[in-house]
Amino acid sequence: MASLSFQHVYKKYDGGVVAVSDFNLEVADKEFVILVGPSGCGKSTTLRMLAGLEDISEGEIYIEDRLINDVLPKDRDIAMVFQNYALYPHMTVRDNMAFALKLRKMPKDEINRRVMEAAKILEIEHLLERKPKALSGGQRQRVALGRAIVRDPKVFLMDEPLSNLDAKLRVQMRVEITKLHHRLKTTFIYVTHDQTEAMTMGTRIVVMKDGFIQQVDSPTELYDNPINTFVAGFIGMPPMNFINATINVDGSDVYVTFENVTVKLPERYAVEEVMERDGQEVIFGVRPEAITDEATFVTDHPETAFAADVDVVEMLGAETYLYVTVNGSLPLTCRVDPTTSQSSVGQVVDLAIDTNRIHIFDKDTEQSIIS
Amino acid sequence: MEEIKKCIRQAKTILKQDVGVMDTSGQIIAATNAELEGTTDSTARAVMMSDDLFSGTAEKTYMKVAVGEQIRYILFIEGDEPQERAYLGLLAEWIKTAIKDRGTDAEKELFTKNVLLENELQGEIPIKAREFKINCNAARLVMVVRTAREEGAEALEILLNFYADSEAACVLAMDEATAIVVLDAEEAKGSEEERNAFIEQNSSSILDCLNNEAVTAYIGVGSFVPLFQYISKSYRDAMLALRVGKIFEKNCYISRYDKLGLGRLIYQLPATLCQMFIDEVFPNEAYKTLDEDTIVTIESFFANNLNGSETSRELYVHRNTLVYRLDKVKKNTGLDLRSFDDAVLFKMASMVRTYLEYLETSKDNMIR
Repeated sequence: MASLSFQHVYKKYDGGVVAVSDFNLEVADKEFVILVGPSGCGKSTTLRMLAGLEDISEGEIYIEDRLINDVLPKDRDIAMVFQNYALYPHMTVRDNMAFALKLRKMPKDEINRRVMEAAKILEIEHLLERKPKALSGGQRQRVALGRAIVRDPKVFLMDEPLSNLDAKLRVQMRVEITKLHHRLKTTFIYVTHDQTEAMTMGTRIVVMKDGFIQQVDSPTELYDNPINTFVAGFIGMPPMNFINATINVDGSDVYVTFENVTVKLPERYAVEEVMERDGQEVIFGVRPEAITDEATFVTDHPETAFAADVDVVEMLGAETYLYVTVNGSLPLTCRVDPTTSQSSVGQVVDLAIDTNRIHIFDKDTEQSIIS
Repeated sequence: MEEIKKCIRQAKTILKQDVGVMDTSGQIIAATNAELEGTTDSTARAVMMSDDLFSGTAEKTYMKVAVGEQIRYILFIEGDEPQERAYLGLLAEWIKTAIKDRGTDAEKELFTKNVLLENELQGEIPIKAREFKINCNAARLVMVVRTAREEGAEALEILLNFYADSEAACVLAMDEATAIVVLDAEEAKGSEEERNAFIEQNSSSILDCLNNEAVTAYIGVGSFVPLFQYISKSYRDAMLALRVGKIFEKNCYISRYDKLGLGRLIYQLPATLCQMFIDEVFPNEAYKTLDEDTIVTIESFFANNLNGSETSRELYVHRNTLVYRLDKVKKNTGLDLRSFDDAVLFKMASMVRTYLEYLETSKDNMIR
């Protein structure tokens, strides 16, 4: 169990390539922190610097109060799980789990105790004498986790550990890893490019892009209050709708206008940061679930209502996605309730926006205008 | 020694009595009772002086084991019944076979190394390969795994375990920091996709396996060769990939010979020609006048396909700051990076410069 501290950490390569820039993060003991971002954003490099597999160009990393910049990887008291299970094919599950400990010349009794304990936690006691080829993908992943658990590390590092699994198994293992975190009560740092994994597993999420941290927050905060369009677009599926719109101020009322549609914003938007942009273009962000075709809501909110052509209807059971076009040119995605929605393809449908769940971003900086 | 221990470990699962092996001085090398290992049996001297193959005390039976002409080991077993002599006789044969196999393995390893290093005559390779039961007609792919010197032994042990009992791979130590993996690539002989998948699967497995045990490694992937006798070419290619990768792709742990890009061209150029090119593009060492911020800006500008808006957004700088920095590059080097031709020239010249720097410092390289 350990806290972590990244202080102004950089990873620079000769020739000017900067993989990680000014990375600052405090991770509390027993936290489950997710590093998420698109390919090449520096999340794996950050993890590798923490593991000692990559040199730190600038800055300092601490595990508890110990500066680990120059500590050898094997002396950092961490354990890693990778996308590839990297199991030794000729060894049994038991031997696979014991291998790292044998390399470190640990006494046999202690090795056995740790292997049995880890096997019990992962519920793989019955697989201990099997070889990897006789295991399913999920079972192999558990063995890979078991290899990490037997080391009894202060910090678990996981680099896209579920990428090799099919969609169904991934959901199952997601739950398993979350349970494991609760059971082990150890610090977890988890890298993924999958925002669903990030949102469902982490106590805190670090969103990265181009080597920079964009936002560090709880899943709910990231979803409800994204700091910029990148975070807003990256978190949430289907992604947020971004609409080029113009701010119009009329007395104390604030409106956004797009494609001949005018939407009145709630009173909380009548603040200086918004009012001073009268006549200026902004990016209007609306999550799909904030656009509804529910008749009562549309009737009750004429100030946010507009018409659109339905292009595609996707029925997913618990929810329905409508892909619509406003004024023949602006595509929008809406997540509606299948029990009330009557919309069908080719129909012109009345929609309304729940303005309590909208976002406004600066057109140039793409930063949120009000937090 | 390991093969003797293995035999004893296996004997433990069959025999009820304690058995073991000692050297001629009486030091116990391996025993089913692990506590005896490392201790000395004083009876050894008497056993060695006896002319008989078997000797005995009230508790144990001893048997001398010769390897070649010389007595090398003494086996012992609890009990002094005739059946114990039979057990020792069988165990002795078992151990001799294991030692002989080990000798053959070592010879096979040496032969493979010699093929890799082109120390074998091409015509003799298939004949010798047959002696070692190596399938000469299968396609091969060589990967070079380089680690820090102090991690080399551990890396080798990990790789040997990873590919243990595998007929499709051979792991060799070339020096204290370099291991070679020769893979049977017959399954990847078909399409380009199959070859890519084969390389991806094997190289990333090796890397993750080593990283998992906290060993940092760089992997050079050679080219596919159709027959065993050509593995030296694949080895040369893998070494080249590793070197070129080190120079031009510093943030990359796996370098493939078939994906070296511009680096492949520049690496083949003579140093004098490179220097002439640099003197032409960056006269009076103009490159050195660029500060770190400017170099980072240039890299980002290239990465964003010369798109100013994207670059300024990525670097969190105002567009005017970017324009100022690009103007500074133009003033110092005479190259306007907003123009495609100048951008290409700058990119190539900076790669050539990186190569020249590598040539200067290559003697100090400890890793890769």
